[in-house]
Amino acid sequence: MTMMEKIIDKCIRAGAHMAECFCISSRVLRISVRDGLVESIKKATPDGVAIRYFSSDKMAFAHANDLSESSIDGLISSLRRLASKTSVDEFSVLPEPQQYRRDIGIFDDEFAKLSIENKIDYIQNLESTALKFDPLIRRSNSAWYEESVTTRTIVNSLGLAAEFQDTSYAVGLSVVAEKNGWMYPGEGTLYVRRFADLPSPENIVSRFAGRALRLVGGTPVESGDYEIIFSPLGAVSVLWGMSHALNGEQIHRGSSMFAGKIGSQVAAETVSVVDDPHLPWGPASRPADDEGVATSRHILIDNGVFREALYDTKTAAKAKTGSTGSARRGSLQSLPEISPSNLFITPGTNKAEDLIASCKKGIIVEETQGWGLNSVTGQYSAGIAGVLVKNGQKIRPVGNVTLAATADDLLDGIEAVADDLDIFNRLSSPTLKVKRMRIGS
Amino acid sequence: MIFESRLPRRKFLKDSAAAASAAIVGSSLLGLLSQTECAEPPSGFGFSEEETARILNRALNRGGDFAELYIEEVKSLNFAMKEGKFTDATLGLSSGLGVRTVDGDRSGYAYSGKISAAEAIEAAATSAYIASGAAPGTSAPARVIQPPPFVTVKVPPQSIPEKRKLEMVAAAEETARRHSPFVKQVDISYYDESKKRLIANSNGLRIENEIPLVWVVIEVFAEKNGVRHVGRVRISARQGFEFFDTNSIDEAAREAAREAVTMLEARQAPSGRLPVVIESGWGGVLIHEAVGHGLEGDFIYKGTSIYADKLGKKVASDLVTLVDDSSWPNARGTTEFDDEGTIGRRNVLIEKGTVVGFMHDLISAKKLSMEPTGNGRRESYMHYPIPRMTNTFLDNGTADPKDIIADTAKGVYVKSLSGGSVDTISGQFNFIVREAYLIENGRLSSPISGATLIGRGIDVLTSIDAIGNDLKLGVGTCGKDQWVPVTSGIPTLRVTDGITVGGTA
Repeated sequence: MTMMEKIIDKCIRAGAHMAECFCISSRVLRISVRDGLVESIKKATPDGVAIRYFSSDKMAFAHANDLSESSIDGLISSLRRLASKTSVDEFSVLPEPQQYRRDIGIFDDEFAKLSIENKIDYIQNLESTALKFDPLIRRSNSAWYEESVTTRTIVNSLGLAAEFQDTSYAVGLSVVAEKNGWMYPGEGTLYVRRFADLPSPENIVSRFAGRALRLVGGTPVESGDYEIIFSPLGAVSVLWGMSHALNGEQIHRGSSMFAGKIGSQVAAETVSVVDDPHLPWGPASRPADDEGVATSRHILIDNGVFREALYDTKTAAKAKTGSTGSARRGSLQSLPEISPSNLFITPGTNKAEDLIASCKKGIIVEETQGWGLNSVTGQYSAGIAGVLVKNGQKIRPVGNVTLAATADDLLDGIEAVADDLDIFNRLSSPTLKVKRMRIGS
Repeated sequence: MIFESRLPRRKFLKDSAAAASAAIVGSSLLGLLSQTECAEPPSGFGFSEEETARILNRALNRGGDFAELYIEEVKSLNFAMKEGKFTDATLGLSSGLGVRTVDGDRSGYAYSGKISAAEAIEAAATSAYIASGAAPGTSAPARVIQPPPFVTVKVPPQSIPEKRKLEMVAAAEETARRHSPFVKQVDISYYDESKKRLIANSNGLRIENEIPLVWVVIEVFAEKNGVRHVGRVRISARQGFEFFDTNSIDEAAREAAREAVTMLEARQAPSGRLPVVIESGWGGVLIHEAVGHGLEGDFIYKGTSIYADKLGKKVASDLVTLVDDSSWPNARGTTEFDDEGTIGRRNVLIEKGTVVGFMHDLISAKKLSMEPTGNGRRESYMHYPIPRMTNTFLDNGTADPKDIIADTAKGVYVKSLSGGSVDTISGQFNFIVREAYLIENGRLSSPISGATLIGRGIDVLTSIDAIGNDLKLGVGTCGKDQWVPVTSGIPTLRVTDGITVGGTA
């Protein structure tokens, strides 16, 4: 019997009618460099176990990273007592055994073959490429590399047993563009599951340092209505709010702007939103969610029509639907919550440059600060940095202005979607064009 | 893996209810165990001074200037009430150790979730990897330092039966629910923890303590004719359960419900530059974002803060005195000593408008040849320390808050806000308003909804023209790659120019 089966067994013997054990074990290496020197190296092996204990439809949860028998026994006796104190919840359910896809691509066989010197070289090269990119890029905050190999194991008393090992690589860069006494950051992070999928240093530098060069020295424009082009990064401020509004729990509770709107038009016809955990080698691809439910691709918004929300097992039971395999644990310490895998707005056929060229008086929104789209009210409000466009021509950087719209103006106003989707993060969007939004200065 | 899917880049004051349970590592067995076994774990996590020296020497065996051992144990308990039910009860035990080796500009860090001498030696061998060339170093003999009593506990939260905590939460839920028929959902999260730390370093420092934290988040969701608003109140302290004698959850629930229902009548916020009056308390997030992060030592020595060259320079009006105080009794950001063992204290950062200090950890202090200030903090043993704020506030002025409003012809009054973020490089900050009103002819008029406020820190500092005498601290969790509990506070104040309101009206 494995340790986890033993834990389930102990729970049942302590009086649980149902139990689940989740175990995560990962090895992490992080290297950061600044000005060519290795600034820090961090290495670790965290391990731990999280237990959901159900007794008479009452649930208690515990986590610990001391996996000794006495620690586990103490935990279970505490769980037993704690479960008697929570409320009866008839929707406390666990998933049945499942079949999983094994061909998605989540584990990089090259993982063990790379030496630490290779990785240090890679990240030093990234930073030096950035510092040579343009005379205005004079300062580096850091460039960093992080890799992890993680094993997740889920076992429950209904016979479900799942174990997956995945690899993940993240690369981050933070440099500063300086011009006429102005400073502007160029920074960002990319995630992949295979080392070979990391973009070239030149590509990463042009993404992040290139943006800083376009935005440095930005000043306000006059208040008023503008056509808005959201760059792929800027558009995440829209998709982020949509991802919360597409959360089945928020829908069920009525606290989403999409509540009660299944089957209705909630955005312009240009907009489709997909959650795809089966994207080959996608940064958040996974065969199973963190309750062990097999994942699948879901079209949540289809040509502007709200088709489906995301659910975990419990919320699905409440809403009398099925889990979409969307349970995620932020860490060992947290209970599963509903969260997308690779969520993206599907690309259109327009070229981003053509959308920009079509603006009479517009702003390319490249970065946003603040929440952006509020998933409860549907209002959009953020601080932004971008580029002013007049008669199709890029004029100058814009900064220190706000961008706002009511719910209808924003989602219904997405006139066009470009073809430039790339997926290096959990939330991704191509360039979007919105008919009209309000700039404040 | 952490995804940077949100835009606020690095520094973001977290404020969702989920943050209450998720952002803070660890959770609580102490209360539960203490009912079955009485044995106190031995002090020093069972690591003798000799053992500690052996570990530190291992961390220095490839050379290096400095080595440190950090050991932590967090026991916590969390109850969540949703839809009238206690759906979640979480208890946890999170413990581990980390070893750091510093060699010039380089540092190595390794950690493990198991506390044992063997794990510590292995971590030390890994952290030593960064150093090279020099002769092995040795650790100085241990000097045990007694921590100052900035956190006092009369009733350890773990000694209170869970039943009483649950009853307290259920009563507050009832209060919020009864407030108005428009109240649709009430979520309450109760969290308490006990955190034990031991820090030993190669300079001979050895210090340990155990401090509690209590943290309650109340969210009330109201709806009327399709208009929705979530009202939120959070209360927290590093204090025993006696905290709730003077900070009633019931009162907090009533306040969250009041906010939610009041804001159902809100109209669209205006857009553009307007004078902004901010109520005392969590409005301090303005100071935290607009100024605080830019005074953290790592941004200063890297030259990536607009304040890097401002020491001794006037950046604000005479009214402005900014303080970070990790010795504030029992506050959420109080530490007694930071996560490198530096004793907490009151650090004045801006005095009457002039920059007089920065917030440092050991590394940034050394780089700038300044004194450590007790601001080296880490989220958990899985992180190495970096300069962070603790309890950061703008000191009291003399104005009566009522007069500040009465003296404003047209503007926005911000009563409460969610979080905010700042980019220290450009100084651009934003914060998100939850409850605000228009000021017309010196009086509060309609509530306004949904606005983000933005500006540049330096512009805001120079345009604070009135500061009240009602300083209060608000509680939150600050993220800068790692999450730590903080407070930030202001007296009621007015910013005449420099803030842009992002509305649609």
